[in-house]
Amino acid sequence: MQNDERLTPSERELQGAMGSLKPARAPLSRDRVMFRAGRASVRRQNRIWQGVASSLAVLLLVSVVSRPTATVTEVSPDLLANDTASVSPARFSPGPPDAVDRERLEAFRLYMRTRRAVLDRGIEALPASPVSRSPTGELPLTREHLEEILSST
Amino acid sequence: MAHRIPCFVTLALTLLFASARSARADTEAKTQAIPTVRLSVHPKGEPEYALQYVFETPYMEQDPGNGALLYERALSLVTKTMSEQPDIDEQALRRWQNSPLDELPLNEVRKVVSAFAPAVHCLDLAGRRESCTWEYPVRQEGFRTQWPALGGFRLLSRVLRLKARLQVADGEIEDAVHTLRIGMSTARDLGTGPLVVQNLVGVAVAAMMCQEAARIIEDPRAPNLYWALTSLPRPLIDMRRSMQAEATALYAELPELKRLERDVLSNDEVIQVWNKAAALFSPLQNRTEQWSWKVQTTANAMSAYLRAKTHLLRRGRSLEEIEALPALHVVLLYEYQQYRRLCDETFKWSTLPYWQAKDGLREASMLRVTDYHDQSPLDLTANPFAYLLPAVERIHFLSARLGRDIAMLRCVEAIRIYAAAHDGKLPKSLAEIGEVPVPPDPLNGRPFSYRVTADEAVLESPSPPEGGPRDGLRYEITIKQATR
Repeated sequence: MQNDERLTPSERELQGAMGSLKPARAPLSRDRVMFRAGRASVRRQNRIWQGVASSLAVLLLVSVVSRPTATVTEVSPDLLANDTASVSPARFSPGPPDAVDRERLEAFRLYMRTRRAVLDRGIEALPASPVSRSPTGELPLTREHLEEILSST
Repeated sequence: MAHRIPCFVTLALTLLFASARSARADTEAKTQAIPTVRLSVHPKGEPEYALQYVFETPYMEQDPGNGALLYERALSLVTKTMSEQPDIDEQALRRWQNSPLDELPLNEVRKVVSAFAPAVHCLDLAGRRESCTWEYPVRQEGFRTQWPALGGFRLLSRVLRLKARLQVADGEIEDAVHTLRIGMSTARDLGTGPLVVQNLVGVAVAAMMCQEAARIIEDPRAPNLYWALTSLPRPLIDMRRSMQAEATALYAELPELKRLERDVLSNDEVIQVWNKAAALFSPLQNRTEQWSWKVQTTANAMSAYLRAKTHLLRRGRSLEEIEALPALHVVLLYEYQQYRRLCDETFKWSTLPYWQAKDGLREASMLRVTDYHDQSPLDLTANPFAYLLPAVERIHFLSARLGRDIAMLRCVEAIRIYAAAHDGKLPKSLAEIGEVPVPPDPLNGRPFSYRVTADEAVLESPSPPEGGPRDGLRYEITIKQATR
């Protein structure tokens, strides 16, 4: 106040204007803030509940609509053949090529797969009977053919 | 709170519905049909010569030689027939095998059975051979061996069933019994093979013959087959040999293991073994998954080093000696010795009848996931060799289930013998049958469940806990008066 004399008229005018200002009422009281925080937390909980309930409702609907059928134990004999065909040498890349030769690997894995399939699903898991002929129309030569040839000479 | 009410309602509904479904599923599983065979049979005593009908080839009808070659010839003939007659539908055979005679398209069935006559003749010749040695070099070649197209035996078994049914229709009962003998001999010989799959096909073939035998004995002219069934080897198919063959096929695939206890492998050599094991045993298919599996195996192996050291210390090796060995050699040796122990702990139970072995087998199967010493988890990734070990518990069960099928048929035939001696009456209990011994249930070692209601007897082998409802079997038997 002792410096009032040194103020310019415009500064005095500003001082007066500012002096006439009254502190505005705070938009939020402490109680209101606490109330809003509480409500927000309850809404979050509600959203969790609503989310869980919605998910369960969807699951309920899905399970009602899509009722599982009885377990099918019999499997088409072609299944294993198809399964086997899907593991082509091109797709199967087992480690370093020089570690295990491909033919041996394929035979091993095919056998293990067949063993598992037959144990699980029985004889029906075996591939269908082969229908193959040599290009000349002859039956594939077996040891037993060789025996016949040898015994006839 | 009002917001929550719908949520609670939904939750309650869901729980209610889920529990209702679960209860219904349980009930369905319990009541899901145990396979039931209704048999209407005639009283029939033993044949005049007790062993007049047998499923094992009598000595005088045997021929010297190896039946395996003729079985392969039979499979070749199946291939030939299927090639020459592409209209033959294997699925139709599958449907026909379960159809009663009066529902079969007889002309069509006769045509198909006739088409496979050369292959069936080969089976007959093969079954008469004095020996059957499948000369697959499994010991040297492992599973690289070209094994037979076993699907052909499935087809031929169906043909045999249909052939026997036609023979019954034509009044050729003795020929029908002979046709079953061909099937039983084929099953027995498949059971001598070195591959578990081959043995399992033998089990299936024999089970199919049992089903057909049950049809045949309904015919009033059918002889009593009690002694024919009783004289079959027990077990008909002993799978111990093939299980051991497969467990030791590991050496054909990974010959390094043979010298593991004698020589010391460098870390690089051990990694090479693991790479091979990863390629052989990993169920994963693409390269990324393969590599991930290998990395995991290696990481697990490294974490097993401490246990491996402890293991060797317990076996009398000194700490200095162990620490002088390459670390990976120590781990591989540990894994290998674990595998050997797992094999023996499992296989020892296969030397007992199933009902005595099943608890031990179940405990042994737990060793696959539990370390021997510290009970810490040990999954297949941690010990890649464990993957090779066949499911001994299941294999033993399937073999015993076949024994159960045969034993139940023996019971049915024992009931027919009793009825023949007691004016066509059913025995009140199995213990009442004094004419012939009544076998127990090979799945549990106890007598079969048997009860008589009015004019029907129910003979039952309940579904075992380790199997499903389809593993049970029930015969509902009524006695017709003997034709005179």
